[in-house]
Amino acid sequence: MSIELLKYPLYVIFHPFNGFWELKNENKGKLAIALSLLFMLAISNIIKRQMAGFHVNFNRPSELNSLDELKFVVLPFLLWCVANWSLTTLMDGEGKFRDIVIATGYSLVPLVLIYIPITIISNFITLKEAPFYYLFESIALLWFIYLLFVGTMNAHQYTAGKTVITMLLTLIVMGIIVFLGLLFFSLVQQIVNFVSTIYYEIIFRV
Amino acid sequence: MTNKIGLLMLVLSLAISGLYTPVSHGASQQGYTYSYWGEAVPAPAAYVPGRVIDGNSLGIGAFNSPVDLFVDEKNQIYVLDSGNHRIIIMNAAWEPIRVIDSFQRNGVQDQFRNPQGIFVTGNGAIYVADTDNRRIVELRQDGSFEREIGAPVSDVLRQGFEYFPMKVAVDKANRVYVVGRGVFDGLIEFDADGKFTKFTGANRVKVDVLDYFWKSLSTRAQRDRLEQFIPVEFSNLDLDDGGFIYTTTSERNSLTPIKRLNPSGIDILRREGYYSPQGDLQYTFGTNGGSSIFMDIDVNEYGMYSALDIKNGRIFTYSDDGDLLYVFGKIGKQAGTFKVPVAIERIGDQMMVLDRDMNQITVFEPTQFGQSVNEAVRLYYEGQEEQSARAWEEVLRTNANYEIAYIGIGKALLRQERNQEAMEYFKLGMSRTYHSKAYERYRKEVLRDKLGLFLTGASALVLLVMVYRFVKRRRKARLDAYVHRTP
Repeated sequence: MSIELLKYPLYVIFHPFNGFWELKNENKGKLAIALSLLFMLAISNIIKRQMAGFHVNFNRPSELNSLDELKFVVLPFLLWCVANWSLTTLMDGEGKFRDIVIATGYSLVPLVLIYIPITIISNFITLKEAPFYYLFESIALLWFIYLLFVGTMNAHQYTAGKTVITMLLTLIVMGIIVFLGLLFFSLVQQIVNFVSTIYYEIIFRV
Repeated sequence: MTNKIGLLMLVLSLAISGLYTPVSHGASQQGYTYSYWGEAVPAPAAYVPGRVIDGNSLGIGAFNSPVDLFVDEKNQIYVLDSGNHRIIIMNAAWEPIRVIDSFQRNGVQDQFRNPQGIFVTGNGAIYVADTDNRRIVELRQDGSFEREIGAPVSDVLRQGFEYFPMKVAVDKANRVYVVGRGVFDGLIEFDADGKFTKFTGANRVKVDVLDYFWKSLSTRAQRDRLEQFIPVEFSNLDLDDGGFIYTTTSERNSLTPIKRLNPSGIDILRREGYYSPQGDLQYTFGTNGGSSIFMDIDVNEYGMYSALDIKNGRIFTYSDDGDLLYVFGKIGKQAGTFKVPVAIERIGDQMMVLDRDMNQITVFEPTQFGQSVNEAVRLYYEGQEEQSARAWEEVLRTNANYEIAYIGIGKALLRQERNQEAMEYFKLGMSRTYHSKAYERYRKEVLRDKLGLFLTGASALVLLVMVYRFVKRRRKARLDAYVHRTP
């Protein structure tokens, strides 16, 4: 893998319109890089939650679980991609599933880049300086949302308005997927229960 | 393997016997507090029940639904024995001095009818909320009648205002504050001459969003038949040395059942603890569940106050900053437990709880743990932080999970400029505000000490780089010159 490919995410976050265009149309995006960015975000999120300074860290150390944290990063990412793909397929989106994953993955770069430094800095700030920490946290988030917006727009060749609507709808679809998932599990549970009850009835009576 | 099981059994049995050590005072008492995370954590008992006093043991006949208790500045104890409409005055050794069951008013024999509240001023004037007679009666120390204060008369009273005084308190300026049954306008305030002046410190109305929604949909006729949004009434009051009024409300699931009112009726209770003083933080929901319901409150001379929860028979004690210090007491049938606890008073370091249905007073004695906590809070209130820290260390020796103690010690360390140690203690006490203060000073200290070294190091490095570059350039120049010389 050339150094060019590793530098490319940095180019994308500062020049999103060109960057995302080339990602899709000039094959500069790599799925592996998108997924490793996701992995890096998960790691930096764990580090941030665990090691952020006392003044800004309200987590209970005994309740932190790295696997849970992983779940809270990876699961929403996958949900977003699936929901977005399902939706844009119906809404004349040009993006393939691969494009969506790459665009979303490359948008995560600001989060990865900002989380680690602010985690280090947060150990050296007082409560009075804590607003700066939150400022940078918000900047990272807003930057990510902006990149996601540009990335989605580019991947599907949408207008700005349509992109906003799609993104909001994607959130709703994510909710629906979660709901269906829970429903499915609950039904499966009931079936299992039913079968096992019948089994025991037969065992006891026959 | 068998060895391991044997060891396990031994450990288990030790643990169990440790949990259920029988206490000589009948009911076993184990205290708890709420941690920073809002979880109930076991703590040593701060108070254990001692004597139980009833009318028969005093030789004055059994109490009949006693409802209020008061200790005056001379440590005389007053029991308002409502069912027998009498006041019993005792000295600190629980010897009856006087029983007042009637008095001469304008030459006529008069009696109380279902009195509910009693208060005694610094110069010995006894005020009784004579509920069913709808008046406040002031008696002198010898039981003779001084005056009575009748129902308030004013234009500001709403229609259908019924006056049933329940509790009474009198401040240093002889203003009389009365809690009325069903009066949600606030405390009824009379001036020194017994004239009604105003309502003070009304509780805020709590509006349920859902109720509000339905109300906004309904017609006027429907609305009139719906329950009105009205603020809750007070259940009791007490005065501290500064003349501020501590009140309790019996509202369910309220976040501010305890208030400290200033003369203009504004709540100025300090809520600097992990949670605002509200009794239990964890409770079940449902018919028998719900938050603590406070019936009485007692404030002592160093701002520490104890509120009595009638529902679970628990006494919650807070420091003047609003830190929960300890919880004790419970409902039960053994000695040292309550059925319907209605009043609480303090005499010295002892705490007394009056039980209306059991017709008795339970006296609680502080344990060593309780004494140390009281001591630490008192010393801190008096500004003696270092001695206070020593008392907190004593507390930690009995209960290492007592988070407030760490903050107390941290404050003393901070005062002594031992910033780094203070930081450690504040972290253990989960106080971000104080930790930040200590850290700010510590950081300044480190920078002051190490900045010189850091700058020297940095400039040395810069110098080194410059020298290196210079040498490199010289060498290159020489090399170039050499190369050019040999064509």
